[in-house]
Amino acid sequence: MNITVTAGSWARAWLPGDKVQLTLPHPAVVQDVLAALNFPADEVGLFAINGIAVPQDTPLNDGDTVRLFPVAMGG
Amino acid sequence: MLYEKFIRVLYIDMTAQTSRVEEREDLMPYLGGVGVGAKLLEENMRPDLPPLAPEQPIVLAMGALSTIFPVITKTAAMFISPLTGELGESYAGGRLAFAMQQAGYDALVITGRADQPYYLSIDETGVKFRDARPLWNTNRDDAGRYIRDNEPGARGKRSIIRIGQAGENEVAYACVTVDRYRHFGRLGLGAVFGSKLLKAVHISGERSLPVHDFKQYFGVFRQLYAKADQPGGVMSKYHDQGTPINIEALNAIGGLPTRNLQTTRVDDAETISGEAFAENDLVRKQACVGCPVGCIHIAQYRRAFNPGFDYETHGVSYDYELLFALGTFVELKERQDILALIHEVEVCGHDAMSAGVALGWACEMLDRGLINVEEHTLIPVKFGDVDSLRQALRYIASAENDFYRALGKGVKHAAEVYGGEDFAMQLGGNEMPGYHTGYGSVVGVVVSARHSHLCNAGYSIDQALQPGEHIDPAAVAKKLMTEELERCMLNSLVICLFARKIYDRDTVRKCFAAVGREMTDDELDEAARRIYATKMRIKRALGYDNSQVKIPKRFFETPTSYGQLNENTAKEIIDEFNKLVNEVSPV
Repeated sequence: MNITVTAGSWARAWLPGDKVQLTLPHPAVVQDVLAALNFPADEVGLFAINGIAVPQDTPLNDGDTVRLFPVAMGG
Repeated sequence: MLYEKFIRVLYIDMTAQTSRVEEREDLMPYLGGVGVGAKLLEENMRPDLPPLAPEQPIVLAMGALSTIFPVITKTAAMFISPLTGELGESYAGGRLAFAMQQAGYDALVITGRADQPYYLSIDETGVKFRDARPLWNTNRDDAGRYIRDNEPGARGKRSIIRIGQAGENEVAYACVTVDRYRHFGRLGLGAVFGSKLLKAVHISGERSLPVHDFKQYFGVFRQLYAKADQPGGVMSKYHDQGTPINIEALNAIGGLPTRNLQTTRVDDAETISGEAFAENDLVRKQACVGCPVGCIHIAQYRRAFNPGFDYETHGVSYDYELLFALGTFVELKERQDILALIHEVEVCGHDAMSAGVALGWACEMLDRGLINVEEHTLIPVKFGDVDSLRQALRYIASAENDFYRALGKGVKHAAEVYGGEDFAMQLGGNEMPGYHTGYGSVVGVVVSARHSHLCNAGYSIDQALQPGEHIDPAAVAKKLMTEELERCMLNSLVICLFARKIYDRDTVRKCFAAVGREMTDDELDEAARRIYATKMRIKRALGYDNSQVKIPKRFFETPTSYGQLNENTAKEIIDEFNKLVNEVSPV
């Protein structure tokens, strides 16, 4: 299936460009995009599909756009 | 004091206009920062008197490793909070720790009340009391400019901390501005300055500090610098967008306090996101002394002051907490409106978070008809209306009438007078932070030593949970206590907590060793517990008891990103936490 992954400038070390197109085998879940991108899992605070946060084991559908957010920061 | 076996304390009496220095070997086990500060507060405070009594102390303490390693930049302020009536603790970066070190003081203890406004000029030779009558009623910019022009000291090597009108009028959440863009923000240190008629402190020095073992020191320093400065490394997100990156993330999970916490999402988060500010409004970044990161994001606020295209511009420092408190919480949706409100907070000298939360409560009170314009707000203060919100900030700072005077004592106090306690969004008397993510964010603030999200980072615990996942109260309490203790140690160094991933235990031990002080993990644990126990003794002496805190109903009504919270579960976590408190610090 074809998946689009976006993150924002915080992730530019691991995600070149604003959007990355991935092709994943069926079935796949949200967290599978990390392995496919070699993206460090501990940098990701949450995943969202269409702007709403979803658990990392949410099944993906062809054409989904997955947004990665960093761990919320305070200090 | 680095390479010495004592802590050098400068005691200043505002009443008698005298000062003295003591070199205190007995304070060494408290390391520095919050540890030394807490002990000095305990020694000098008067629990029998109100927080703003002249006898109450202001303690400023730099850390055991301040400014000699990257991102160890902060100074701790300890005082009795006029907002909560108990432990006051706040941190600021800028140049203050560096200037204290250059002047040769690990800590300052300021007591008494002057007979007229003064500012203090401090250097290696001692303290000068300068007439500040011309500065009273000036804002932080004017006061800073006057002192810069009239005091010796090389630019970039001195620090000027000062209050605005809010502090002069003893608003309980008045801040102290540090070197323009940093603050002792929370819990009302500005009011304590005001109560002593202390407008500002200028501190500078030319003291030299030779490194004893340069090879060892520089080896550790270089490793840390490389970590902090590495593109794409753990600190790069703080440099790039900074904490405003949280806006979209917290909105996506439904944890972004909005409209006085009536909800936790906004419709157009991307228009006020960190990325949007960075792309459209950011004009420069700055760093505290000793930090290679540069996380202070300065945006340009542009204001028309006349018809005919007459504008003025202001550099406004922004981060996540400000965007939440002075943005979503009061329902401002335009970036320039949010910057306008931040600028007003700066000019008045309020704490941004408390001020925003106070405004949110006032808007809802007026909406519900529980107060009125004529007797109370004087103008129709409305969600989303930047002009009325700005005016309300000025009215709070000037204590314009009884209503604003009450609001200036904190939203808890104002709600006790006027009603609306169920939606007065405070925890333990301190206005809420920008996280409504679960039990960690709410209970974490209640049980934390100073009612701050930064004592134990409860919001981080929430992020590791799936919505609705089973909660074990004892496990949550243990995580909160573990982090609370570790931060007692880190805040005695005093690191910027942005760098907490860099300063793990191994690194902290290496840093101490590099300046000739061997510390084991057990000794660091022991110091953390000693510091925490000191804070608890202070809180108990001031009459505080976690189990008596009443959490406003809205925290349980508005779903968090975890889901709706249950009051009984929250109470169970508090009870479990209190058991742990008694283990560390028996009553």
